[in-house]
Amino acid sequence: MLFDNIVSKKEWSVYELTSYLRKKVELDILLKNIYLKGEVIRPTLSGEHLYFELKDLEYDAKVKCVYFWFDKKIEVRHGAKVLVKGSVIFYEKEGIIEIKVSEITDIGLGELFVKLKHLEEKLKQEGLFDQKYKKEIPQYPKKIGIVTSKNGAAVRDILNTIYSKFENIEVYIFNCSVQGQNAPYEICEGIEYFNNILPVEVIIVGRGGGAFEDLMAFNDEMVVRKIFESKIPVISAVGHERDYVLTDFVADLRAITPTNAGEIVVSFQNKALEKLDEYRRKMKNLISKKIESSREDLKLKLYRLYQNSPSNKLTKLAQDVDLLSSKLTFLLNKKLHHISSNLKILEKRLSVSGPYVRFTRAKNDYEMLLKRLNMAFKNFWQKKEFEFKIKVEKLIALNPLNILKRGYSVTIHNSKVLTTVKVVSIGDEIVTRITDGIIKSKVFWTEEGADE
Amino acid sequence: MCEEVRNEIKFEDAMKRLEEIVKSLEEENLDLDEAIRLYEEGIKLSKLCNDILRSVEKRVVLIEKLNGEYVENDITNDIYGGLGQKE
Repeated sequence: MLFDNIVSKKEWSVYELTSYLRKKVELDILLKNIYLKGEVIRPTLSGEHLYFELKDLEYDAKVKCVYFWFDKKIEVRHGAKVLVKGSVIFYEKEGIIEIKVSEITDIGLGELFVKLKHLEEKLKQEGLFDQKYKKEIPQYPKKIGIVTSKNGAAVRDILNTIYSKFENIEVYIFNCSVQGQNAPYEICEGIEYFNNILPVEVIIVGRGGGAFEDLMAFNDEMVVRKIFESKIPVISAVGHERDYVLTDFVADLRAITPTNAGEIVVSFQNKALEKLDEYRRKMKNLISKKIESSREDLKLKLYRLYQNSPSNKLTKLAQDVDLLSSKLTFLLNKKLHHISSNLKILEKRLSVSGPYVRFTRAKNDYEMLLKRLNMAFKNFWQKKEFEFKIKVEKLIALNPLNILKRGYSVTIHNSKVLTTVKVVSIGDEIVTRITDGIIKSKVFWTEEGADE
Repeated sequence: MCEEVRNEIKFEDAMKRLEEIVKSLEEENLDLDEAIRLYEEGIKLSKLCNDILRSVEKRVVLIEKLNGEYVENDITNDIYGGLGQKE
């Protein structure tokens, strides 16, 4: 904001004013934890919170109140006169004063209550309720002291709770009055007894629930101071959850009920027992599993060792050999089968084209050719015969002897037909053939060119 | 008391150690020897813890002031006989 840098402001924003007032109110110690008397006007519950106004009992004045995380079991009626404990807050968004309530009490209880509140405040101021003085409650106590009435419900509740959860524990009950005049003294006696005479590890101081006045022993200053002084851790266990007493504030731990106190002192031992059981079970299971898995591992290793042992190697090799030889046989058979089927095919093919077939075929061819030859020869023969016949007939027609018949003759000289005179010498014999015989003659003479 | 306090610390430590042992045993790559060693330690510890938890028997004692004297009565076997029912 620009304004932040201005030293003297001329004007305020509303928010600046309201937040300034809020700071003022918050810083004022007097406005912390105040007690207000008044009449409740229109109490309304919104969610977990109770809103109402507190009206002054004498004058006309009102203030808004809010009780956050209001316990719905408490009854707050319209018109009820109450004592409210709370702090003043300034609600900057609305610019109003509100009381943030932490406790609300019916004023009917009167002075007693106011006195108690003052005592509470005093003890608180002294630091008796301070967290820094709280002793740690032992988690595994074996000895427990209870300061209460042996006739009350509280002692039974505590015992029942303890022994239902955990058996191995010693309980010492210091019987005392828990209400009435002597109660504060007797309660103190009990706390002293355990601190000085009978050491225990933790003390439970308490009683069952009751009316406000019945619980007053546990609001007694002496009792509160005795608890504060106790060297042994103290658990306060008074009444019901909604009852609050001063011993609750001073004790090292407040149990909401006696039963709850019983639970607190054995909860860890009970849990420890359960845990022990669980750990035992787990360890057993895990070791069994481990052993089992180691066994499995061993088996596996042995198996692998066996697998890799020489004898096994041999066996394996033998197996390999077997396998390979059977494979080989198989393949050979396959091959053989293949070859034989090939052979069959070849045989088939061969049988179709083999020498015998070829021979047969040749023989056939030969026979065919022979036939054809014969035929051809026959034809040729017949043709020649025919020609010959014709020639013979021609010959017959041309026979010189036939010519002789017509008066012609043929002269032969030296077995040759004589066609020229030049070859004939005087005195030569010549033969002349005529149609019905021959005539031998001697040459007397020759002349050439003796044509007529 | 002192003894018991020491025991208590021991007990807490023992429980813690037990938890560690269980966790270690849950490890996958733990060898068997180590596992067995841890298991033995664990069993010893669990016995110790168990002994501590059971070191005391159930016992209920009622202390009353009678005639100005404190009287302790063991009422373990008769709790509700020793504890009156009336408010």
